[in-house]
Formats: sequence, structure tokens, C-alpha cells
Amino acid sequence: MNRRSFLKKSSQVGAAALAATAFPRILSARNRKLTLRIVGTHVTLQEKIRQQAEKDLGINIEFYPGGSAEVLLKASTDPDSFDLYEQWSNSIKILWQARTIQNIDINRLIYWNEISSLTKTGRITEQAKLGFGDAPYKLLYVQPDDKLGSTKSDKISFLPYVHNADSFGYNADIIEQGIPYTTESWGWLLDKRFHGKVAVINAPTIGLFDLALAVQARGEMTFQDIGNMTREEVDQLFEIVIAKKRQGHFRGVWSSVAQSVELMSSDDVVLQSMFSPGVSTLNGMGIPCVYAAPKEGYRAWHGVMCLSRSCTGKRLDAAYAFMNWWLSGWPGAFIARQGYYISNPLRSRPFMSEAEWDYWYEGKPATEFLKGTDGRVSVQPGNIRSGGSYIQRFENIAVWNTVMDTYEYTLPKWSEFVLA
Amino acid sequence: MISLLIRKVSLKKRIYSGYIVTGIVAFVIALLSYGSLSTLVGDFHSVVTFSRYVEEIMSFSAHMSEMQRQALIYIYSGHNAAGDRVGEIYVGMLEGIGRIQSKEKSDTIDSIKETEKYLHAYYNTFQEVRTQRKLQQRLVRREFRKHATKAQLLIEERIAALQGNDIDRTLQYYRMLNFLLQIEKNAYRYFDSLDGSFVHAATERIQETREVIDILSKQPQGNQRRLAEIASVLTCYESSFLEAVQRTRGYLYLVNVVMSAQVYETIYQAKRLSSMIAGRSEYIQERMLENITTIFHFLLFSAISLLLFIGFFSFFISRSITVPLNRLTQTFRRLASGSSEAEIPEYVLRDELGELTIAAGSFKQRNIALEESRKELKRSNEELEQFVYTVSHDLKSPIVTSMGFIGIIRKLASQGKYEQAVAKLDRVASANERMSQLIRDLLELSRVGRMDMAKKLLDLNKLLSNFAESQTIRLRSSGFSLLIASDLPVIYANESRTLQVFENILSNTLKYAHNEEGGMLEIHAAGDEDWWYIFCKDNGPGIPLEYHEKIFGLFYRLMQMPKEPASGWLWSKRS
Repeated sequence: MNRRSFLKKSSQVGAAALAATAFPRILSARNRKLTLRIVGTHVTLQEKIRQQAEKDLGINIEFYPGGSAEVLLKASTDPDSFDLYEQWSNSIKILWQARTIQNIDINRLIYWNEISSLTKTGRITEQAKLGFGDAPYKLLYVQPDDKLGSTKSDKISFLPYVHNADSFGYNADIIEQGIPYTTESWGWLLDKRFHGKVAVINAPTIGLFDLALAVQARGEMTFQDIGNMTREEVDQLFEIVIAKKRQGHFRGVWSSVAQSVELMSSDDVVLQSMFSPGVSTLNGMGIPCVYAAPKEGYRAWHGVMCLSRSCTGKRLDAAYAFMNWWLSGWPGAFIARQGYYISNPLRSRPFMSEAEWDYWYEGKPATEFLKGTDGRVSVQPGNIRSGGSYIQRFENIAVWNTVMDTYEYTLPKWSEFVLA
Repeated sequence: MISLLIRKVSLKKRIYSGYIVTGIVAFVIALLSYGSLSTLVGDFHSVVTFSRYVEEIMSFSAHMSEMQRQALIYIYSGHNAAGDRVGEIYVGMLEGIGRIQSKEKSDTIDSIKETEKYLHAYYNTFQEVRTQRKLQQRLVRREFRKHATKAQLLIEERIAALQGNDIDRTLQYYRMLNFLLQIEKNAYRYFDSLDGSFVHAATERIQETREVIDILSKQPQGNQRRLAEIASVLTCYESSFLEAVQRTRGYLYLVNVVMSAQVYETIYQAKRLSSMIAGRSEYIQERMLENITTIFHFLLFSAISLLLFIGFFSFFISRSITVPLNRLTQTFRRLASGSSEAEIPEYVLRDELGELTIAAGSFKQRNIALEESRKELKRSNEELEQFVYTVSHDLKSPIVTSMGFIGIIRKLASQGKYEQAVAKLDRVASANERMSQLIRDLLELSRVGRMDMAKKLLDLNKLLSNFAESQTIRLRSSGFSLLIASDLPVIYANESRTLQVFENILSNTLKYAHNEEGGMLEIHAAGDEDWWYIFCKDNGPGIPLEYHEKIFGLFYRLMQMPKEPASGWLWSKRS
């Protein structure tokens, strides 16, 4: 992920490349110098993706990357400012409620039938855990009453594409490596051995679940529904973690992948909530950051691509083309190199080497040096992706990132925790 | 050391050097003290500066907390003064950071930049919060109310138009009014309590209102245009409400999540910075304490060393003065007591002590002269006593003889023996003649004591050669031979008295060394490193060893014949 070069060039309008024959409907858009505006986070709004999309689609594409809160506010209040919105499934409720996005016609999605059952049913296999919280399938289909639900329909609220199962990472130079799904536990976040060297992501819809899973793993409290806590449960949870914070257990919170990398590389932190790119970056730096496979299950997230309510006409055609492009193989292969999965992985397989596929999707040992999205080696031969294969990881989902009904109530609590 | 000083350095220089060395030592001690104290003062300034930095940085935490408090006041109460206060605190903190940045070193500059970065981010976020809140307020207070009021008026207008003729439709419109009230009520409850369930309730009521509009629209006598207008207003009403909700959530997120993290990181970085500076301050304080101890020891050691040096130096200087002075004192004491043998201490320099030494030497020479005079006087007195005795004795002898013969002559004259008496007169005359000779010798002896003692270099070969020549007749008449060695030395002496010596020796020899074979006198010389020895040899009877000293007595004569006065030996000795 070349964020710096991306930031420098994100405002530039790329020259139109030859149109790909796979997207003939966009030719006219290119000829009219149509520009597609995409708002989202740095996770997917990467310069290489933008350049490749422009090259394949023959349209101008502008990326507007930003922080989660910033882009969500923009998307939920100003639908005229974007055509497509890329973020995580926990933003869907807000956007749908704000009525700033429109439904997506699955008939215009070329690869809809290739989308895995994880997004459509919530289970990647029959025996897989469903996971608490707002699993994507619960928010995917637009129901006749214009609400979101799991009952299949022709209209969906978002395009399923990138997703991953997150957990915490720890420095194996300092912490003895645990056994995936056996000894590795969310409870480690509150383990006194790591006093003062723990951090969590600064996002109530994400970090809150890391803390909840940790408290639950240690048996300090239980939740009726960890994906939708009551106010009393929120109070109890924060009472525990704020006390821990006041005791100096937490170094703090991180607000970006770069900050998480900095915290661990500077030895300020030895264990923290992490995203896959951060783990890859640290490994590339020679820091043995292990991405844990907690026995309680992962905290999963699902990327969503949404259509602005204001996107119509040729822009809408271009938006659909872009969505189809995302599922056409190359982007899925690209994003796999930073540890993310695509909803139709088989389409991406031809764009990956066998070694890459085996490592990233099958959970097999790397047979060669594997490069990340930044072109630098991020996986050494012999390395095994923690948590095993794609299937195994998504069979163990504890909770999905969720905007709970008590969202507003958690915000000042979160602030109290951060400042404690 | 002392002897070296005495030999090489004059008294004044020694005294001056003492003062100079003492001054230098005092200056060196002062210089060392100044240097040491300068370092301490520098360290002390650093500690004070660091303390100020720490105080200022620690105040960041308080400032950040106050900023956040003011931000929350602004968020929850909307007081613009609180929002402005955030800006004022921000500016104050930037100025504080600027002050530290201008003086801080590279090891803390990263933390300062981090602190500044988070501070900037915080303020920018707060600006965004203000924007969002203003938008939210505009939506809530104007747009939302406007649409609510418009929808209410449209519905009430329709109720009035029906005039109670169509109870069912009228009731439906009243239901819509009721829903509008519930929407408004839930909306404001949400904005007051920030409970998301009220948003849900409000949207439920909006949906129910739409359903009522649908029902009315499907009725044939429904006013489609008015209903469409109400539906449009309802959509705007819903949009403004939902946008207000999202903006509320937005700034709540910014305040509680983004800004809180920025506050925390700013405080954390400030604490880390403060800790780093405090660490440096502690290091300097420890160094300062170590320096104080080291300086104290160093100064103590230096002072003791330098004082010892001054002590030893003073000792050597004073000894270099007192030693020769004591020696000179001793010498002067001995000299004052009249000693001519007092040792004059060696002192080669021509300083005050040198002058004293020279004076002591002069004193000694004077004492030697006095001693010589004293000895001479003693000898003179002894000689005088002997002289008086001898003179009285020797003069008494001819007088006695003369008086004896005078008595005999008187007796013979009384007896009438005039011829015999006259014959005896020769003996009286002889005795008187002898007495007369004795008196002449005394005069001569006294004259020798007063002779001119002017000395000069005398070539004895030449002197004695002339002497022998002048005595030729005398020697020939006496049948005497004088043999003078040819290798006689040149001596420093009085010429006339030297000649007198040889004349006396020759006279005595002529008197006493003459035998049947004739007389003979030989004069030789021999010398060593210091003296020339002149010795005479004759063929006389010789003088026994026990008389060697006595013969130098006045008028001493070893034997009676020839009866000549013996003042020649004495004379010879005196010369």
C-alpha cells in the first residue's frame, strides 16, 4: 500500500486508458470524460487500484480517502459529494437510515452469482459460526418495506467485496507464541503481563468489541448479545476497562494502521488490536508480529461499496462498471496481497501465483518470497498465515463490526475510556 | 633546593618570587573556583530552564483537559464562548510549544513535533465539529422546524377544507398531525438524550405518515396535489431530521472518539516529553551534584596542594634567607667576640646577604689584624719584661763589676796603693764600656721595631751577592768564607730588614763559628707549595736543640765567650 504516493496523486485525474473490452458500456462515459468520485478509506482507495481501474475502464476516477468518521459523515450527509462509497458494513445502517445511498440492482452485477455464501447467508460453510452483530447478510438485501434484511431480493444495499477476520497482533519476540484457536485468546488484551503495553483501535464500533471479547474471555462479564449490548452491559464493560486504563494497563488507542505499526515498532506496545496490513508491514520490517487466531473467534468486518443516492445516469453506469471491475479478478488478487479476501475469490485466483493462493487463501506455508501490495517482501518462505485458510478463519467469527442501538451512548463512554 | 636558591637566586628575587608565587597560587585557586562555579551556574541554569519546560509541558495536560472540557461545553450547550476559549487555549499552547522548540535539543524535538501534530489535529477536528454543530443547529432550528411547520399547515389546511364532512379522511389527517407531533417529539428527545431509539421511533412515525398519505392518495376524492405536496414536505422534513441526526452523530464521534484520542496522545506525548526533559534535568542535577562533590574535592585538594606548595616554597625561601642569616649571625657573634678564626659562610651572590658576608669577611680581617696586634703586643710585653729583666740583669752586671772595682780602688786608694788602684780603673772602664754597648744595643733594638716595613719583591740572589761583596774586607780579615747558593728565590719582604738579618747572622757567625780552620757560612734556600725556607749553615759548635727557641731571647747568649750581646738572634727573628 503506497499511501504517500497515493495521497500525492489522488487528486490528479489520470489519463484515460484504452477501454477494456469487458466493459463496453463505459466507452461512452470515457468519451464524455466522465469522472467517478469515490469516497472511502485508505484500506481500498489505493493509487495502484485507481490507476488499474482507469486503465481497465477507460474513465477518470478520483479517490477521496479519509478517516472512517470523516468519510462516514460525508457519505451520510452529502450524497452529492460522491458516486460510490467504500467502507465497512457497520456503516450501512447509518447510511441507509440517512437515506444517502440507493439500492443496488443485482441484475447489473456481472459476478453476483460468484459471491460467496458468507455474505449472502452469513456462513461460509454449514458448520461455520454465524457471529454476533451486524453480519453482512442481515444488512444486504433491501426488503419490500425499504428496510434491510436477510431475505433475498433483487436489490441490495451494498456490493460485497473485500472482507477479513481481524484479531489482535502481538510481538513474538516478547510474548511467547501461542497456539491458534487453542491458547491465543482475546483475554490477552487484559493480561497483566502486558501491563502498559496494550493498545486498541480507536473506534467504538470495532474496538469496543475487542474489549468486550477480552472481558468475556477472562470471565469478568457476559453479554446477552455481544453484538448489540444493552446500556447496562455497556456501563459494566466500560467500568471494567476504564479501571484497567486508569491502572495504566493500556498505552492508548490507535487511529490508523500507520499508527498501529509505529506503536509496535517503537516498542511502546507489544499487543494490540490490528489490521492485516499493519501485521504485514511489521513483518516486512522484521518485527515478528503474530496475528492471533483467538479461540473465542475473530472480529470480522466486511467491506461495502455503496451507491450514492445522487448517482444517476451515466455516472450510475460508470459506478456499476467500477463495482463489476472490483469483482473481476485483478482487484481481488491485489487486495489479497495485503491479507484481505474478496467475495468471489475464484475469480481472482488466475491473477495470483499458486504460492500466493496457497498462502493467502489456503493457509499453506509460503513456498517462496511473497510481496505485499507495496512491492516489498512481506512473507518469507515457510511462513504460514495465522488462523489457517480462508474457510477456517471465517468459520470462527465471534462478532462482526457493528453499529449498535446504543451507539450514541457508547461514544461518551469511549471518550471516558480513551482519556482515562 | 635551599642551597640552590642561595647560590642562584638573590634575596630580593627570592622575596619577590615568594609574593609572586603566592599571588599566582591565589589566582589559580580563584580561577579554578571560577571555572568550577561557572560550570555549576551553567548546570543550575539548565535545571531551572528544564524545570520551566517541565512546568510548561505539564501545563499542556491541564490545557488539553481544559480544551476538551470547553469543547464538550460547546458541544452539549452550544456556548460560543466555550468554543472560542478552545481557540484561545490552542493559541497559548502553540506559543508554549514554540518557546520550547526554539531552545530544545534534537532528542526531544520529535516528541515536541508529535505533540504539536496532535494539537493541530485536535484543533482542526474541533473546527470541523463546530462546522458540523452549526449545520446541525441550522437543520434542527430552521430546516427541521420549517418543514415541520409547513407539513402541519398543509395538513391543517386540508382538515379545514374538509370542514368535518368526511370524518374518515379528517381522522386520517389528524393521525398525520399526531404523527408529525410524535416525529418532532422523538426528534427533540433524540437531540436531548442522544438515544438512538428515538431516531428509530421518529423514522417509524415518518413511515407511518407516508402510509397514511398512501391511503389518502388511493381514495378517489383525495386531493392528490396537496397530498403530493405534503409527501414532498415530509421527505424534506425527514431529510433534514436524518441529516441533523448524522451531523449530531458525526460531531459526537469527532468529539468523543477522534478528539479524545488526540487529547490523549497530546497529553501522552507531553508527558513523555516532560519525562524526557525531567530525565535530562535529573541527569544534570545528578551531574551537578557529582560536579559539586568533584569540585569540592578538587578545590580542597588544589587548595591543600597549593598551600602545601606555598608552605614548602615559603619554607625554602625563608630557609634560604634565614640559613645564611643565622650563619652570618653566628659568624658575627664570633667576630664580635674577637675571633679571627670565625668561618665566613660561603655566599657568592652580591645581594644584601652577600654584602653582609663581605662585611663579615672584613670584620674577620680586622679581627685577624687585631689578633696579630694583640699577639705582637703580648710578645712585645713579654720581650719588654724579658728586656727589663735582662737589661736590669745585664746592666746590673757591669755596674756591679764597676762598683766592685770602685770599692777595690777606694780600698786600694785608702791603703795608698794608687797604682794598683789606677790599674783597676781599666776594669771599671771596661765594665762601663760594656754597659754602654748594652745601651747602644737597646737603642738599636728599639729602632728595629720602628723600621719602615715597606715590602717589595726581592731577588735574594742579587741581594746576597751585593751583601757578600760589601762584606769582602771583613770576611777576608777574619779569614772567613761566605758561600751563597745560586738558586735563591725572589721573596716579598722589606729589603733593609732582610739585609739586617743576614748581617746579624754573619756577625754572630764571625763571633762564634770561627775556629782554627777558619770560619764558614753557607746560605741556601728550599721551598714547598706555600713557603720558601732560607737556611744558614756554619762550622761553629752548633746550638743544642733545647736552645733553639731561647736563643731568640733578648741578649741571650748560649756561652760566655765571646762575650758579645746576643740581640742579633732576637733581631733576626723579629725581622
